[in-house]
Amino acid sequence: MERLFLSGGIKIKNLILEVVNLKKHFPARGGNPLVRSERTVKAVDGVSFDIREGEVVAVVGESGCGKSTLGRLVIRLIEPSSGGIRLSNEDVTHVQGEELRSLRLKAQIVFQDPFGSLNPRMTVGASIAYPLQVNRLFKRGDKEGVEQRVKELLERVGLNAAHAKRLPHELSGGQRQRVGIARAIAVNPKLLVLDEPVAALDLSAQARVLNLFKELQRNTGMAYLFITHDLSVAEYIADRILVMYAGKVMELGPRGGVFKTPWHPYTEALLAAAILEGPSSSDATILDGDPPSTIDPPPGCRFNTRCPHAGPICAAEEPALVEVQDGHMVACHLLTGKLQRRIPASTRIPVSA
Amino acid sequence: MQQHFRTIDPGAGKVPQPDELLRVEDLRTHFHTRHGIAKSVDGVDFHLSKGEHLGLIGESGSGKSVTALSVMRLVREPGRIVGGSIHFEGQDLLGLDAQSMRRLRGSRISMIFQDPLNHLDPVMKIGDWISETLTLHKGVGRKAAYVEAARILKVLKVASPEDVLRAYPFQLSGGMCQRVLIATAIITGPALLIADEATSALDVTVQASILRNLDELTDIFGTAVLLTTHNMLVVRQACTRVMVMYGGRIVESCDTDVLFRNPMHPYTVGLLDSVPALERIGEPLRPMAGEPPLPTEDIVGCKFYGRCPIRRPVCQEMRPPLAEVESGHWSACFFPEESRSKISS
Repeated sequence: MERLFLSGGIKIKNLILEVVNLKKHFPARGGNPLVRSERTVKAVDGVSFDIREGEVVAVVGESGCGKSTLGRLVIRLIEPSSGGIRLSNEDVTHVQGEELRSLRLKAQIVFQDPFGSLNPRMTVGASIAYPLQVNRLFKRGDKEGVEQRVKELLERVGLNAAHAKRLPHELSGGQRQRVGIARAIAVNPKLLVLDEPVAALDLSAQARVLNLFKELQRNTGMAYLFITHDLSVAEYIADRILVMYAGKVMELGPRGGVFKTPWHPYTEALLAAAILEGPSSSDATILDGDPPSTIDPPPGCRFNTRCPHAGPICAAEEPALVEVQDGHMVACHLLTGKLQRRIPASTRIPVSA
Repeated sequence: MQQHFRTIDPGAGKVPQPDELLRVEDLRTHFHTRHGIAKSVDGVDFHLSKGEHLGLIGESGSGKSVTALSVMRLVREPGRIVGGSIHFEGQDLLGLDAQSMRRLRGSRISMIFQDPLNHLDPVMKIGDWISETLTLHKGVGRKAAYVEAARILKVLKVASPEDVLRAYPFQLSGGMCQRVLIATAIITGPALLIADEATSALDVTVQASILRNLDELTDIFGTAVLLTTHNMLVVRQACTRVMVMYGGRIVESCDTDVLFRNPMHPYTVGLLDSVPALERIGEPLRPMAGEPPLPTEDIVGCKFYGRCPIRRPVCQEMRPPLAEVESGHWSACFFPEESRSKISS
């Protein structure tokens, strides 16, 4: 089993998370209830990457590409169908019970919806204290210790001790998200999975929460798996970018590389959609159509149905993830020379420093 | 203090321009709630020319949706339009009876909303849904209406329109449902299309493609667009002119590219500085302090006073009027020149 991992199961310093060929297939529901469905949703279909200590990896992609499922797999809210996950050099792919619980001390998650992820009947203080008590980080009856820690956590996320007595509905969206963050960092995790943590916030609250993430990361050295659909947010926060499409990794590389010289046509299209200049701007790279269904996805490259360059090979053969530059990996037939670029790359944006 | 106010109406003058389609003056829409009167729209003036694409940008609670609904006269209780006027094609909309207004909706003014699935009938085929508008308003037969519907879906880059026309809403993706709503709204060739956060629920790539198709489609019909959004990118792609709304008032209005280059209101500056943008890589985010005022708060002066980095006592005592600072560039700030230079340095 250990052979699965690139590290060969050997302890590697600084390595927080290692994910190898991770898959999650769900049985597809719907259709005729009388006919037993054999179809599966391949939400995550062979994803490999790693995260080092203090590193921020952003997972970007459209809705339905499997990025949230990936986040849930990583902290084992759901169990993978196959593949492997190593957290701080420990195989956690199929851990259960007490082991699973101790995993939560290392990895925590902040959800998108700050309204749905807090218990409306629990005060903010109680919500934050809960992980401390469940994980027995304080002695039974050490009320003062817990209270002190809650206060500390509230202050660290930009709230104050008075907020501990409030109920979620008394807070704004941005404040609620801060409570979610305080709860997640309460156990001093090494890895924080952030699942669209600013998508539900207003613009000005969004900026403040993003700055809070940066500051927390600087001060604590936590690593983030930052899931977002917004490329500019990813650019702002991440060291490395992982571009997902229909359950697969299309491109993975350092931020500068991915944004300055995107290799994959899908990354190009995402960037083009995110930096449109105006109604008259060149829009050769605007994609038509919708992402493919991950129920029985198209054969070959998953992107071939929308790709402006696609040729016969793309529908026949799945491109492998190949390293094009130091640490910059791309899965596209354009790289192997079996496919010609139809339109010139247009979205290289000038990046200062 | 600089005194360069000319008039408080960004349309300049009360005489209707020849190509004027919509003129809104001092619009006030209030909600009478238990917590007091929420002034969601608190004195809004603007005008829209034929075929123009105008953006209305603001955060949640700024009053942009209520403004859009007011123009459609679709504000629900406890909300009420309590003042001002709305002139559309020379008609006073607030003076119309319910039946005339209903005739106007869907034929001369159409609206699309954020959540397309909730605005389609789940048990009605898409084809019937789209063509009903045409049948009702223009008396076109079912067959001809179907042909027209297919033609419009083609412009919207729907690969096989006939299949979509035969489908039910639940069989379509969110992007496809939004294309259907757009087709429904525009099939009668309205003079004005109001799009209320119409692309906010969609993915960026789908959003970009829909906005482009919408552009082509409105060109064909000569339809003007009033587009409300919280997304700078959308305004940039789809609108030639933009208004920034805050606390139920318009605080800035100008051409879209001018807004990004040279904002003249501290709120706009704050908004631009708090959005990470791929054009400004490497620059830190400078979020605004504080929260917007509650709509029930009684504020005499500038609504942005509590959060403004360049405020002065006068701002609290007097409401700054929307004044023309440069040609075609309106700002509701007493110190518009200071906004950019002082804050972002």
